[in-house]
Amino acid sequence: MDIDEDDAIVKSGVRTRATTRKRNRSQKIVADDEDEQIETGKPSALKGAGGGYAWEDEYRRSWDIVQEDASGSLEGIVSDLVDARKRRRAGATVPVQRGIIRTVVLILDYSGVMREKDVRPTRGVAMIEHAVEFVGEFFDQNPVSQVAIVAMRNGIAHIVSELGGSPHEHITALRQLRTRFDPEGEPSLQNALNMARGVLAGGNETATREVVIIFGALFSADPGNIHKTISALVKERITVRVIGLTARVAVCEELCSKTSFGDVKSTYHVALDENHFKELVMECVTPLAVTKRAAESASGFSLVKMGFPSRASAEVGLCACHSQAIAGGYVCPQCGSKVCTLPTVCPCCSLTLVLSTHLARSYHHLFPLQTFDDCPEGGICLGCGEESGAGAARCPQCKEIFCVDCDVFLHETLHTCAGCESKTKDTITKKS
Amino acid sequence: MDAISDRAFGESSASTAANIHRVVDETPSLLTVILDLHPLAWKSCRETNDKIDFRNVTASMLVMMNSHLALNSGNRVSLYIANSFSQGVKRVYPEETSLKDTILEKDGSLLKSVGIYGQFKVLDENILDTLDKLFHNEPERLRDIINKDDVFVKGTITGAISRALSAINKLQKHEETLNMKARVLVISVSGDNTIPYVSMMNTIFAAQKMKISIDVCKLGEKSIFLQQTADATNGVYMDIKYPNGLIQYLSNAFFIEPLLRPMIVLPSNTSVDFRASCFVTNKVVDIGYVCSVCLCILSVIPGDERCPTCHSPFEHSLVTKLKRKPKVLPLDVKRMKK
Amino acid sequence: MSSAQPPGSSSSMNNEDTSVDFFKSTINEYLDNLPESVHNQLFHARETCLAIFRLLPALSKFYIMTLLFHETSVPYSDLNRWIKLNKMNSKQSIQQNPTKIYQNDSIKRLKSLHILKEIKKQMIHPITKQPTIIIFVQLNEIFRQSFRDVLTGFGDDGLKDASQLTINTENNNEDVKPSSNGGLDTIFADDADNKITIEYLDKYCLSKWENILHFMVGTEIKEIPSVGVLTLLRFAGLMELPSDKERRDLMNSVMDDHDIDTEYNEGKTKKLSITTLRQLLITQNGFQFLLQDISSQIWTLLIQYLIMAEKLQMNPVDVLNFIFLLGSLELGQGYNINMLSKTQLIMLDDLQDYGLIYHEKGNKSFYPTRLATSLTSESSSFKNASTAIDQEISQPRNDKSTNVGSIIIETNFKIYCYTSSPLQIAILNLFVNLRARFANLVTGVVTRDSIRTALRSGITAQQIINYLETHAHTGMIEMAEAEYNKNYEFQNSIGNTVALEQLKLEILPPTVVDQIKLWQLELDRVESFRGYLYKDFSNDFEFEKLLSYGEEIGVIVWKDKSKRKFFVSQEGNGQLIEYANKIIRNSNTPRPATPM
Repeated sequence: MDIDEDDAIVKSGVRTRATTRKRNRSQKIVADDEDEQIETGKPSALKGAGGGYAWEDEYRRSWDIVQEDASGSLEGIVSDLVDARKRRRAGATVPVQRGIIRTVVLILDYSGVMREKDVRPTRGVAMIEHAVEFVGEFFDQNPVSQVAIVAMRNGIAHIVSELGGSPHEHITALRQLRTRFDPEGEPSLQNALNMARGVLAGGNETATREVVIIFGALFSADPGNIHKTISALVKERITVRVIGLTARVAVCEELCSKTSFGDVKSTYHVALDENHFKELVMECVTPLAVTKRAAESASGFSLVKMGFPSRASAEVGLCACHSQAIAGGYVCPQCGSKVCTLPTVCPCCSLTLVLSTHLARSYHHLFPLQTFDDCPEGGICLGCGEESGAGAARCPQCKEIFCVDCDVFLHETLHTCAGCESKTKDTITKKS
Repeated sequence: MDAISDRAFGESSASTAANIHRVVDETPSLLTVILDLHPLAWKSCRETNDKIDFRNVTASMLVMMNSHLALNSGNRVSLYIANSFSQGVKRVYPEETSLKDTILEKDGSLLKSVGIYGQFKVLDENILDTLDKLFHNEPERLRDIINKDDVFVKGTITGAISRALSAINKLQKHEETLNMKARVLVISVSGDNTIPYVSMMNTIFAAQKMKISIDVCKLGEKSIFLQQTADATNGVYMDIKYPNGLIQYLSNAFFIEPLLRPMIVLPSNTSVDFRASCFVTNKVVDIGYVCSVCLCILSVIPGDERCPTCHSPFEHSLVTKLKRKPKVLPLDVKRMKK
Repeated sequence: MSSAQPPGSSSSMNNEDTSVDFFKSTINEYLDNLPESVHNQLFHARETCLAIFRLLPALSKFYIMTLLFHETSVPYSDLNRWIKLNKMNSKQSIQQNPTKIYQNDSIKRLKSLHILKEIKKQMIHPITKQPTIIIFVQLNEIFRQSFRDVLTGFGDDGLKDASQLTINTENNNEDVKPSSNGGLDTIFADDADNKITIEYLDKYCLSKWENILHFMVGTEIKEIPSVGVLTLLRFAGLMELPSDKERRDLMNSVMDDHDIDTEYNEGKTKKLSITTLRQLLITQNGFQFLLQDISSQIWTLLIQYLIMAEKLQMNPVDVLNFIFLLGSLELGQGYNINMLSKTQLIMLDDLQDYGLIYHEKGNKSFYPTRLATSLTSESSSFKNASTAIDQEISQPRNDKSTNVGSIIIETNFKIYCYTSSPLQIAILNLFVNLRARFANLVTGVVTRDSIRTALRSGITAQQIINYLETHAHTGMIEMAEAEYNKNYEFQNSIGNTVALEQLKLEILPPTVVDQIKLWQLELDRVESFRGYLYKDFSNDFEFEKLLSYGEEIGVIVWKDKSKRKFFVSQEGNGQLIEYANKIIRNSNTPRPATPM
């Protein structure tokens, strides 16, 4: 993928993107090899197919992908594309240590550049819609985490919504932003990052600190020395990810490489088209793996104190967080104050309150489901009981066959193998 | 700007009610029943309360499935068995091809009732015959297991629910049955120790996402996991006190269709205990410590400052901060005397 | 003030009903109006219980199931306690809550069918210690017993029903024990007739049915339906003879539609010759009938048949039982006619004409067709006669790309319909301007002119919209569902209950729906009133007096003071005339001189 984005340093037009798409399909193996040699910025990164420069390649149109097969129907091509997309999603799964309790600051670029219409309907509107979905998914996957949203507009950073764990508030704030303000002015990375530092300083000490920037401009109007800010970020162990919309910017590259200990490949991406933009935003939902260097530099891991409240009696009372009258709710075990929803931080004693189900939601990140092996001969799918067809997969542990739909379902929604769960093991395990 | 998308012709509440009629009455739905066949659990249930009879339970279940089919001609039913020692999880209806081969010739069917609506007859006969076949292998397997000590056979209810969910997912992607609503009913007799925690939680979240309610009909002892399951998926959980009236429970509390659920008060209690238990001491915790790596819950900080499950070291300064006791100032006794 | 009525609307069809629920509402009306004794008789037959159960709204089914295995009676207030009422804002009164309306509807239906019975018991109130009357409810015993038997099956007890139909004809005993394979075995009386396969039955029933529909539309067909069918069509008001049409026009112009010419209606049941019947022309109600889906159409005809049967002295209970029995039979199996009553034997012939049954004369068995077995299914499973058979044929090929009989309509009013049946194309032609026709596709545009033609023939905009919705392509329904779910989530998450309740599934683009309704409104620009025009007053005084009195009692429809005219509605005219007479009388009598 890196080659393609480096090409985009040239002012991107349709041509470059189309070129990359063609190369993606036919020369994937080549690209992977070249990835290993690439260090960003070297001239070899700009090589196109056949060794010349990328702009010397023949012009490929995006509609050339579509070809009719012998009988004149497009069905084969369409189903291939659909299957390929399904497979791509069931990604690699190796159990990796991840930061589960996260504090994320989402910085949105709301400068004049976002009025461009290359992403429908305008960049700004699309960005906000994706941000709304991101918030929804994020709290679904990481219920114990917190999010704050900052917008860069007219050279100043504004807080759109405070650090909090309730998706509802963030979504309303985002929608208000969209209806009340238009993108305008110049973006200022330094102000936004400073504001993010302030917000993160007030958060939980033991959680991971992350910043996600959606950046559409090619410059930044800063009041001071941004490199000092970057050093401060590194000192405070804040990792920054950037999703670019236009092209790679050197400042962002430095920001990402310094804060993630050199791992620019996975932290700085530029969106190639609308779907890719959405995919990149959604990628930020899954917890970041803890990098080796960070693990070595820290002296140990954190142990978080949490409370598990029980339900309050059904009488009507005031909740401590909003001062609204509610019936039911939960009682903090440490200080006894009533809160209305979980997960939250107790407003009186600052104890994180969760239900055990919220913690359980993140288990699938820690115990991910292995990718299944391909099994072209097919058979009867265990999930649905029908013929599995061509795209069947087999679980390496229990050797059961699943069709494409069930495979995707198991990997994306269920995160456990139905076959392994259905077998009483023949070898009997002792009671633990 | 939104005013342009307002409709020119509004709707009165009477027509909304008519819409409810149209949507609620005519949508087909799928009922999946999962029957727990744990032989040891059934035996102990039988000993404690001899009103619980497997035949009665099966008969009540069959009548309930008949009545589900009677509701709407587009309704469907499927049945899975779980926790069976010899089979693990098997789908009884609609039949799996693997079961069709092991035919034991029988003279007549087990179905005693004679005149019955054709559709019901097919369903009931099939189920009874298949269950009968399945029971043939059970005694041998049981004998193998009982003779060994320290037995722990993995419970497979989660497997059954996973298979049911993936079947429903496939059905909802299929063209003809796009808008079919689905729900799951679990009839269980075994305790919590047969249910693996992590996979159970995964199935609960998957059901939540797909908006499928899981109802639990519990004979025998109480189960906290199944209570949480029903609560999280907007289902009904009931401990059956009088098992010989099982059909009444089934046709009453467990008969609420998915589209009627927003309208009808669900007969569950709300005092579900969601508290976790410590991984080390197995006590219920109110306030505990959570390892940030593996998310295990501890009620006390372990002495060697390592997490018991993932063995990752904890930061020493953090641990001392947590272990700190509140500082108590000494009382000034002299001042008080004066 | 009387508002205008579209000319020629008969009272048998209610234009307000949406045609999807049309058959349900007509059969429901019919069943509701039967007396209790008839209901009790009906409930003895098990298939009738099952069929009636399926026609009820979902909440009623829930109530029935709850009470089914209850041995005692339940307090009425419990029925209300099971229902969750939404949080209402203060503006909405309890009456307006749609859930509450739905619940009331469900309970009302149960009561009108006499399934739910109220019992008043006197008990001592625990707190006030006063005797109070508490209402308990219980299920009708007969219904309860029959329905339980449906669900659990039963042993042999000699009651007559479907299983008895199929008992081995060689055994003449009434309570012979059936073979060990259970109830619904079928034994062919005449086994040599192996030609009766399902495909044959399908072809047969659909050819009969389409024949009838083609005859109504007016396309050329080889053989016209039989006399019985045509008489029924005339009786139902779906078609009329030219002489009928003249008579109707005469009636409309002379008097208002309250007077029903009973002799004329009676005469309709007379059997006329086939040549006279050949001249039948379709009416407005006939157009509406065409736009319904096939289950509604069959039920409409069956209900009319039922009404006609009553006039011909046939037992309605038998007829209903047989109809519901047909709904529960299995396709492709032959059934013996031994156990049918006389009434039902007569019905065999009639039903054969509609394509519901296949029965050769002299044969001892009859075969129900697909139309019959899907009588009690949901309307969504069976949209169109040709759709059904095409689905059947296409299934072995597993051809997912063709989606027969499905309509796609775009926001720019273009319509694409994947069908090859001339019937459906003829129906579309009624309100769509068809532009091109391909092998399996017709395209066209919905224009103002095409809709106006349809509206003028008596089809309402609502019917057109319902037709498009029922026959919509699955892709459109999918999109609508996704949109609905998204909106539902959003409104739920921000707690906007008002918008939540107003959400509905929008299958067709709202522009199209609104525009069709607007075009309908265009035709309603002129509203006509019946009444009396008052003009040429001799003096001002009269005019003023009458006008002010008329305005007081509110009967003036229009007035023009400069021209000294006003128009009074029909009903109010009598009062005005009385008042005028009173004044004249008063002015004629010489007024006594006022004493000074």
